[in-house]
Amino acid sequence: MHHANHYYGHSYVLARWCGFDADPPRIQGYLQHGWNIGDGLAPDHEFVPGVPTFVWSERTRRRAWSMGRRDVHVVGAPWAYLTEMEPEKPDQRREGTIWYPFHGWEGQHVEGDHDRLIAEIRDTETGPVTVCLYWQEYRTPRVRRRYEQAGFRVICHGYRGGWWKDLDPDFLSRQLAEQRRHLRVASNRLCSAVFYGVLAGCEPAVYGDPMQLQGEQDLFGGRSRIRRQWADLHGPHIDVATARDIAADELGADRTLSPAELRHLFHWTTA
Amino acid sequence: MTPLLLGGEMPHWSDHSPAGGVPLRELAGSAHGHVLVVGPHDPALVDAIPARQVTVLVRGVPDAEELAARWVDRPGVQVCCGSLDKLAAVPAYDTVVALDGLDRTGSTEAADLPWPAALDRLLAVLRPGGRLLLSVTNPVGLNRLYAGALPPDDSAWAPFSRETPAGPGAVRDHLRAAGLEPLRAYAAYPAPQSPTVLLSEDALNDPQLHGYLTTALRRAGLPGGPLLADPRPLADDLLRHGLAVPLAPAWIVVAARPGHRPAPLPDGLVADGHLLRTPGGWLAGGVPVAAGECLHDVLLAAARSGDRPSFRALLTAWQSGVHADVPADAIVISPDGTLHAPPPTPPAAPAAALAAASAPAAAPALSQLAAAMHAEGLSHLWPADDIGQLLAAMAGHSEIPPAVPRATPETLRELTAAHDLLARRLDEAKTQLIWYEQRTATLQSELNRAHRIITVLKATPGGRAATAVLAGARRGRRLATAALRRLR
Repeated sequence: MHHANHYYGHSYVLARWCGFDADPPRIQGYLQHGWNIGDGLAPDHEFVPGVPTFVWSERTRRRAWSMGRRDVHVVGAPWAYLTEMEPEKPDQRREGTIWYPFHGWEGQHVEGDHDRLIAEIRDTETGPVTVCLYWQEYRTPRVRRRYEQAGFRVICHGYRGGWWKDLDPDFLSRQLAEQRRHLRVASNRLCSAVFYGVLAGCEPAVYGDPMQLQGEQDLFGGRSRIRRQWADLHGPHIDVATARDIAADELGADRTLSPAELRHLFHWTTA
Repeated sequence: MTPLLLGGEMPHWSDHSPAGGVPLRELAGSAHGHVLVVGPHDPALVDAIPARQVTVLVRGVPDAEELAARWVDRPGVQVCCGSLDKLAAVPAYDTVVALDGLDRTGSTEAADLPWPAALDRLLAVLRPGGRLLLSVTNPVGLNRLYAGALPPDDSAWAPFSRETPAGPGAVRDHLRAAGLEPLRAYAAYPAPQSPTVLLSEDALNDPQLHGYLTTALRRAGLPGGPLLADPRPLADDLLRHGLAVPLAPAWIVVAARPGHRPAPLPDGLVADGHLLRTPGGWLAGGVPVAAGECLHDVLLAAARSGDRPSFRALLTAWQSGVHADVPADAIVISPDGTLHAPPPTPPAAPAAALAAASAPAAAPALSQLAAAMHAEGLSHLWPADDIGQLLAAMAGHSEIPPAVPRATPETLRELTAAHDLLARRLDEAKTQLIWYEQRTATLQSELNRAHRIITVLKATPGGRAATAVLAGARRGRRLATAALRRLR
């Protein structure tokens, strides 16, 4: 089991879908753990030839194939399974915007003007704003305080999990519950959280200084390609129907598999 | 120049084996006005377009950047990058060149367009009077029917459109329905991306050209990749049975919107030049085309039938004449037996080059025929191991070429034939070995019997007397020899 298969509790969500109550069995393969514009694999993760890859969408499968990957299977994002397993309650109350400032991952540092971003959020959002920080920034009082002093509620969904340590099976469930409390989901970069929010019923928005990582390299066309190819998802106000179609496409919400088929693909034969 | 990104472009992608080669380049040379080139094409093909304004659309960013760098100093050339569905549907072009077909105009990032929809995208950008040069890959082309096993490559992220038209007739119908006038349809051989021969249906249907077109198809070369069998021996039968068009690897169609300016198109583009119908008859590269049959096929037919006198006469006539160095598959033999060879062309066809590679310097055309007889399953007709030497002797050559090591089989059929031949030879060798062993055993038994008789005979009085006489004679001989030595 690649350790990244456990990130954000992904393997737990799929195990639950397949009928496992306890810890998930080993997935024989590499599970995509975030939206990307390449082959679905994290660029800094080692890839062992011959190990199957489980990607979220058909487009990612096509791209991976064109990049020489074989044995690539579309299974849909764990988020898509979660939204099916935990449907929205009819009396769900929604208010304001959940805002995800672009963040770096472990060992990365974001360069950008948080104050300017806060001003843009204030200018755009009319309701209450919840800012969701990545755990690194959440634990950095300087960054966290800035958003708090702006009058925003500041939260963190938690730690995504490390090398088979500090795993968090309920990460995505908490994120889903939090997003469903909001009318809108927004970020300064198109990312997994925005697609998740659309599937969770939020109106999306992508605006503001996109910031950048220290020494960031634009792989596969990078930020400019994202802005061009997914132009319909950029702006403070986006057509919700279009966004839902695109999100379903990117998260493979139309490509989820039955528990039996998923068990077969993952070699989970004990259930 | 920076490539213009239309959307749907692939940042990591580069297309291999773009459309190119002499016939396609010459066809592209007929483009005029503002020209749009869609899909991967050999840059030399784009260079051959005489128009001042050329727009090139490719899907891979590295390809687009390379092309943009190539034409940075050629004003009027614009390189665009993206998928065909992102091309603005504005009639802006006088000629649209899609000689790579439509299969490589989509991308991983865009929805796949069915073939008719992709063609409609091209037609939408064609001005009134504009001309379309389009290649259509044949899913049941001879190259595919004879293709060996190959794993799908990186471009096979999606299957090719299943709505590809069934034959040039269906392409013409589609174009007519869209308001275009089909001007010419060519059968392209031996491979869709790099044909060396383009032949119009008119030319293929004319019996007068049968022999010449057989030589053209035989000289067209082999499609790339592993093959089940060499398709060239089928050339004669393809033409005889009217299958050269339905089984062509691709069809190249030229069509125009009403109001186009007339521009003559040849009936064929072959190694010898343009094939043209004139009031005085057919011309290939400006030389009249003789009616008759392909000498290579006539020779092989004579060999197959066992008619050695005819075979020997044909061989001798060819090898004692001025065309002795011209391969038999390039010669037309008239009904009266006259041989007609095309004017010499500097570049050798790939197939000829391939066969010539293993041929000795002496009588290369003869060696090529010998190799073909092996490849086409005639080697069993002669007992000789090296048919080349036998043919040279039959043709009356005073100098017999050295034996040629047998070439490694290139196709599955040749490989199977070579395997079967070796298996048969091994069986024969085993049978011979057993026969020799039995023969040796018989001789050994005879020898033993003779020894026994000698022993018995030696024991008789007569035998003893004979032995004593023999021993005395030996002793006398020794004494005489010693006495002679002393006297010297």
